[in-house]
Amino acid sequence: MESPVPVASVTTDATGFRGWVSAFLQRHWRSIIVFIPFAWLAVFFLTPFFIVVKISLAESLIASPPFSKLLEWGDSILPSLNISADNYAYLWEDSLYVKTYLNSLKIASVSTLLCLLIGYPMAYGIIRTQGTARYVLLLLVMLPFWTSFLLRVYAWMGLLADQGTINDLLLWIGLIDKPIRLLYSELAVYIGIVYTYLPFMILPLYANMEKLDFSLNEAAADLGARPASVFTTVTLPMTWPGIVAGSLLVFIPATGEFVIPDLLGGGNVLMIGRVLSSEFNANHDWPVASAVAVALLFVLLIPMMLYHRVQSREANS
Amino acid sequence: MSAENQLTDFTDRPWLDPDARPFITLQGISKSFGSFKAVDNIDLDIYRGELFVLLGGSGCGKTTLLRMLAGFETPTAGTLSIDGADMSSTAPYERPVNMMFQSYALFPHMTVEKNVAYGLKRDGVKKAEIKQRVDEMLQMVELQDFRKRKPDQLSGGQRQRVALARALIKRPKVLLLDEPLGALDKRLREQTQFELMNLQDKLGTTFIVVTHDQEEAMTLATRIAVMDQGVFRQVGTPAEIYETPATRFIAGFIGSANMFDGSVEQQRGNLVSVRLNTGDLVISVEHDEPIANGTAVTVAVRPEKIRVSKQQPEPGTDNVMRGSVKEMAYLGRNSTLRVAIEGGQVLEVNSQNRYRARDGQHEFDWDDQVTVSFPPASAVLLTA
Repeated sequence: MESPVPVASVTTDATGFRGWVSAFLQRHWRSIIVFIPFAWLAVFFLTPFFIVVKISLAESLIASPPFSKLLEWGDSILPSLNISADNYAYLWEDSLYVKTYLNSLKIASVSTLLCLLIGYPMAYGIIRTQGTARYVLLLLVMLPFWTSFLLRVYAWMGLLADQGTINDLLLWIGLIDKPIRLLYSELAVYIGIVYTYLPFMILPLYANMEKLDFSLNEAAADLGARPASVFTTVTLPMTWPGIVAGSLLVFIPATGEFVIPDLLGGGNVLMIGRVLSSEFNANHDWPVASAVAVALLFVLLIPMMLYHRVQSREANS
Repeated sequence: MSAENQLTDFTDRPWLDPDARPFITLQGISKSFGSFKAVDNIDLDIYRGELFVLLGGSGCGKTTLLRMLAGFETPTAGTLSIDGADMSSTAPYERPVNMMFQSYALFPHMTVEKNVAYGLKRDGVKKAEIKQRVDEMLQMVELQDFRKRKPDQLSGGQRQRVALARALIKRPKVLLLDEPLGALDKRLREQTQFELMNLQDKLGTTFIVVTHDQEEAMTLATRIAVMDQGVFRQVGTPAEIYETPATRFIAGFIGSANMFDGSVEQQRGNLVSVRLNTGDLVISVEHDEPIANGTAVTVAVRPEKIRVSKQQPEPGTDNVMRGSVKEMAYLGRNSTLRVAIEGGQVLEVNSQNRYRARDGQHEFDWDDQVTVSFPPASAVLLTA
């Protein structure tokens, strides 16, 4: 297929290198455009990922860098390959890691569910609001993004601390007579994650609900469906893709979350992001830290594939 | 059919029977949105088995009225009853009424079969019975081969039939249809009109149809209510509304009409002479009620009731006017002429094309000098 790009005129009168370049561009521009994102992913995702995989298969050493080399050049002509699955076996054998993975998945699942329970009615409420008010509400949902994430988590520390705003308020009202433990608990982690990730639930739901046709609700009511039945037979199935998208956008990053459990959970809440960080920084065990990261990726691959399937199904319909 | 109607001939015209009990009664129904009165104090009786059409332009309140019957809007004032039961504050899902939506509102995530079965399922009907009734219904609308399709795999006409089947499966006392044929192309619309009438005849269900299409209203209706600005301008059979419009508005809204403004000169028996405002012309028109001399009136004549001729009319012909053809539209079966008469008024006249036009020679042509005439019985005297 000939391209309609006007570069063609250049090819005829320019010669040499410039002519060659423009002819090349003209012939291959489609491939070039497709190549760019592939190159981007290869350089900034695949390469680092393979480096991490490589380190996870090495042995920990007290050296710089602190792990064994993949290829050892000994006396023979061919290098010997140093691969060991010991780090993965270690993750599996030490119950701490399995427990931490499971705890991360539990915290992420419960947070996702909470986000859904709070975010769904909010998104629905925004959709049912008319005129300017709808856009004001939508803006309010996105407003927290204008402040640094770290700053907002520190603000929660101030609110939840033993001498924090919430405890002070409860003491002043007289509901409690000594401060209750809020900060450095699982509760604080839930509060932090739900607060931080709520917009990631609301926005995909909003985008999905914007396409809702409310005459379907009327049709269902007309045919004898009570409000609860209208919701389960019409609204819920129609918004299912939005629920899946929002849930994955919350669940995936929440599983690997590091800052929130570190700052709000302290040492009391086990999450895989914190374990990874301490293996890497405190223990200086890069191979185990890498194995933790690679295993996390495979744990998360399952919901990601699910997400992909739903998305492609939505694109087809 | 009930036995009481056997002796009378009111069977097809229950609204003329003083003993008939109306099936749907609206009393003083109003609906305001803020300061806007969408429906303004409407009274209406509809009888069992009628195909009643609400006709009007957009924003006239016809859809609001229909939505109040379905229960989606609550009247600001007035009462509404169906089959003797007050429905004013009954929720949509508890009314013995089903609606076919203008957009059809088919559930996109369900197959044809599931769409049709939806209403029965909500009522907890047994599976075997649902299956049997869905089969029957799909057979009736000739969609039995499409039961597993989703709405987006159907044509516009098929979707319309699914919507109809879904609304009829619960055997509602009243079926409400919001612009039922609006989304179909012209050919399909004409064909579907008759299907809808046959269906209504077969089931005996009371239909209330909202439309802006007067031709559709004329074809379908047992009675038409012409709506404008939230009120009924006239309620009657299609023939009543066309042949004896109550006001200038109705005469102009339904079909087209030539209107002559003038004042009453004299009345002799049922013949009224009207002197036109434009000049010396006097028109005579039949009118049964007594009317005072000097009353400002309008005489309305339908285009097809005016005779047009190149010959001088026979002596004694009533309401003869001379004029010339200003425009002509050849429509095959007939032609529409615009004839400018003395005094400057332009009349619309329909002329049957009784002879074949050859070599582009029509019976009438531009600038032909013609005479037009109409008998007094063909015109209507309007005072409003």
